[in-house]
Amino acid sequence: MPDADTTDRPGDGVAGEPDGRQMKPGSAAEPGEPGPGQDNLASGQDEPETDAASPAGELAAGAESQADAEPDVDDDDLIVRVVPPTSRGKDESEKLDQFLLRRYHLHGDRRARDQLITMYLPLVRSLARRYSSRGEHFDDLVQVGSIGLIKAIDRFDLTRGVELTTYATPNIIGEIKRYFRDKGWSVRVPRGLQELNIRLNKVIDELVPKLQRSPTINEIAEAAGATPEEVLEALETSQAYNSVSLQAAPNGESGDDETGLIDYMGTEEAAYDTMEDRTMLAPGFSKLDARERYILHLRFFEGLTQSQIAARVGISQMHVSRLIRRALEKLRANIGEGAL
Amino acid sequence: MADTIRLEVTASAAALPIVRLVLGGVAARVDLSLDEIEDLYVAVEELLSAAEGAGEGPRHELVIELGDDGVIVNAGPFRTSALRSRLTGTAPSGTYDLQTVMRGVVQSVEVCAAPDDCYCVVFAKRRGDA
Repeated sequence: MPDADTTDRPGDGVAGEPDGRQMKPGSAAEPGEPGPGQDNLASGQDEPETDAASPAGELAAGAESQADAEPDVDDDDLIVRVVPPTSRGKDESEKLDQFLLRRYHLHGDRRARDQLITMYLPLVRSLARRYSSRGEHFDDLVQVGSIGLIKAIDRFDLTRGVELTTYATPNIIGEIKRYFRDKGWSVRVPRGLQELNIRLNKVIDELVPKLQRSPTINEIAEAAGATPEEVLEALETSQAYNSVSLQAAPNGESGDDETGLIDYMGTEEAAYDTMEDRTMLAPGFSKLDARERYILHLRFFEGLTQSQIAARVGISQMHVSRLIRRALEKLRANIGEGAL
Repeated sequence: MADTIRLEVTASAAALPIVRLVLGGVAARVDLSLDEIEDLYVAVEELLSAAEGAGEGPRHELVIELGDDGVIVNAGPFRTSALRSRLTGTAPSGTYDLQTVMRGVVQSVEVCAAPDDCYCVVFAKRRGDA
């Protein structure tokens, strides 16, 4: 069974769903969100109308009258006949789910699996939309959520007696959340190292005031219960938080100019003399935000260590390290590679 | 005799994580603090970035020597005057250039002659100086 993550389940608090049932095909969905099987993209516009006279309507009607009996569906007609009608009730939806799940799990019918995936894509979209304001593309979240849906369908245990939505919803949410956890690091970093990196932040913050100086790698390793090599590797992962496309415009500027960061790399700028470089520093420096300028000033003019800067600015030493590097990279990008 | 580690790296940003890992491992052996190691990283990164920007390359050698109280890095060979002038010129007050950055993070920066009219950059980071 999936994690007991029920906080974001669709259907929670939905009028007409007092028993906490999950959103079902044809039942109340999020406002403006079609239920499974109702999504135009998912169902496809070429699919038949799902009124009572359609094959799907026949299936629904048949399911209603035959109680637990399997719908009489010809293998070749499966995809057409099981398209759920928009007006199907909860019982009919469950019956259809169970039928398709049995077809897939007991008979290995891949078309039934595909049909289930298609039917429940709107559920994935509904859940993905909840997370779409966190800086990731909605379509990417739908893709990730779809993986959760497919896993749920593949792992569904017919003997458990639960509804597919009940099982699929936490699977989909879990997959999306996992994506955010992993995606937070633009370069894929093994989870163990990510966790160690997070732990190291805490350890370093504790050691600095305790030792009254910057700790050594061995001291950090001992405090974190890791080897020095693991510490170094984990610290290196902190550089993998963000990346910028080489095709991206410098500083995220947009416009007609198609010049990308890649155009600033490896160019022959040796002809610039030192004076020109220095002249160019001023506008580059103005592109830094106040904190970056302040931190560079503290580091290179006042001679403070990163730990001292961290204490003064109120952020972690590792954050200071990242800010210094980012500021220097910005300077280089703004004044042209090689000028700094 | 002091331990010496030689690294031959391409003049590209892709090599920097490897350089950092090796440099960090070496520096940890002589008990440099995290701040001091970060300073070393900055020095190497700035130098290699400047070298790349000056048209140096395509490969450089980093010789990392372990002393009793710190690390000495010898990077090179370089040949462009642009890079040399940025290392030896006098930076105007209030500006950040390669020299300012390098002298801000390591104890000494020297430009030494190398064969074939080339030069190397030698800088040292000692324990307790951060």
